Amino acid sequence: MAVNGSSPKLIWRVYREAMPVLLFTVLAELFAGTLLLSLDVAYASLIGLFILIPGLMQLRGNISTSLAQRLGSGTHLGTVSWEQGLNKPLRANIKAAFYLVIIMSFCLAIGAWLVSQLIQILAPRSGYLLNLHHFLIIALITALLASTVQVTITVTVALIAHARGLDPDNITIPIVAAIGDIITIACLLLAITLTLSIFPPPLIQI
Amino acid sequence: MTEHTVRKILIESLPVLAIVLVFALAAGQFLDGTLKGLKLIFPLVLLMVPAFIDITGDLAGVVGARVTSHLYTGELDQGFRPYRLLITNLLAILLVSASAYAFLGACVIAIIIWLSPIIGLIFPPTGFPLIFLAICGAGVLATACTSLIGLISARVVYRSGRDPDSIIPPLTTTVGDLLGIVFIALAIINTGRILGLI
Repeated sequence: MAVNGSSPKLIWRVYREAMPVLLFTVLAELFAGTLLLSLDVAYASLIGLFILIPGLMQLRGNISTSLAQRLGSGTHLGTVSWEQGLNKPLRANIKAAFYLVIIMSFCLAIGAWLVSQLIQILAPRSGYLLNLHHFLIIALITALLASTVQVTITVTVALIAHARGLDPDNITIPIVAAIGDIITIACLLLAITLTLSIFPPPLIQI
Repeated sequence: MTEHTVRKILIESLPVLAIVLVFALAAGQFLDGTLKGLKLIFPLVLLMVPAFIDITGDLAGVVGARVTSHLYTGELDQGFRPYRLLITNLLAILLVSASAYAFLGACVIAIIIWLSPIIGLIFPPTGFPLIFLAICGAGVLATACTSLIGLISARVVYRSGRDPDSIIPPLTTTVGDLLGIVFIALAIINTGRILGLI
């Protein structure tokens, strides 16, 4: 990343390179926003549900993005490619991504449950209070569903980009980042509907 | 990064993810507690949350990545001098940030106009310029604060001899989430006050 010339030139270059992807991301994220809005409309009286959301959206950022980065490095080094298929390094990468998702969503669910219980003691609200098993099941189902979809897309995009002679580093991360939140919130909607139909939460009235 | 084993990837990733978890829970509580309550003032607040926090996190990550590259190429020294290069990078990102949030503001206003008759939302047309300015102002401020935190942590991490590339991106995205949600809340509360909705 050499810096030649004056400051205005550098500013213009950063601007030109960053803007197109960002505009596309804003549109994709607005779609994720409409899903979030409908999630709130459908489950307005659930206490603590939204504590999970930033964490679940982060799982995407920190697990799919680093998977994309490692696959980018892997294709450059020749250890993974479309022709080699599901070889050992690729399987290790996918396996590690899933282990991380499971560990993190487990910790996230416990943390969200602790925070929601604490807040309910400090400032009680009326509504349906989620228990630990709700948080655990919702977080695990969402994370596993969303990761399965995202890992499949990440691996496919990275390997096809490489097979076509494109640099996966420039393509995989923007695509995964833009559609990741849509997938996560859609999976969350599905997971909540499923979990609450099996385990209805207790109603708390203040 | 020649060999990828499950164990190695886990050991590298877990410490950073643990820090991320704390910030994510704080952001989550703010979203669940404060921001959801603000829909009484501005019913479409949740619509812009993912886009808003994503722009801030992405751009602060770009600042961190660019500055780290400058450090490795020697264009910036250990004390982050020359400051002119540092400030140029920050200015570039703030300009991108202003444009991206202006685009988001325009989209949000378009959605308000489109949805208002459908969901029976009454929004004073005089509030549109204010909403637009609030989104742009809060966005640029959130980007600036997160970028500064990213820069300071890049300096600390680089001086301690570790690789900022593996620590700064997850940090800036989670801090971006938290500050983004805080700044949206502040923007909506102040807009509501000015419009006399509170």
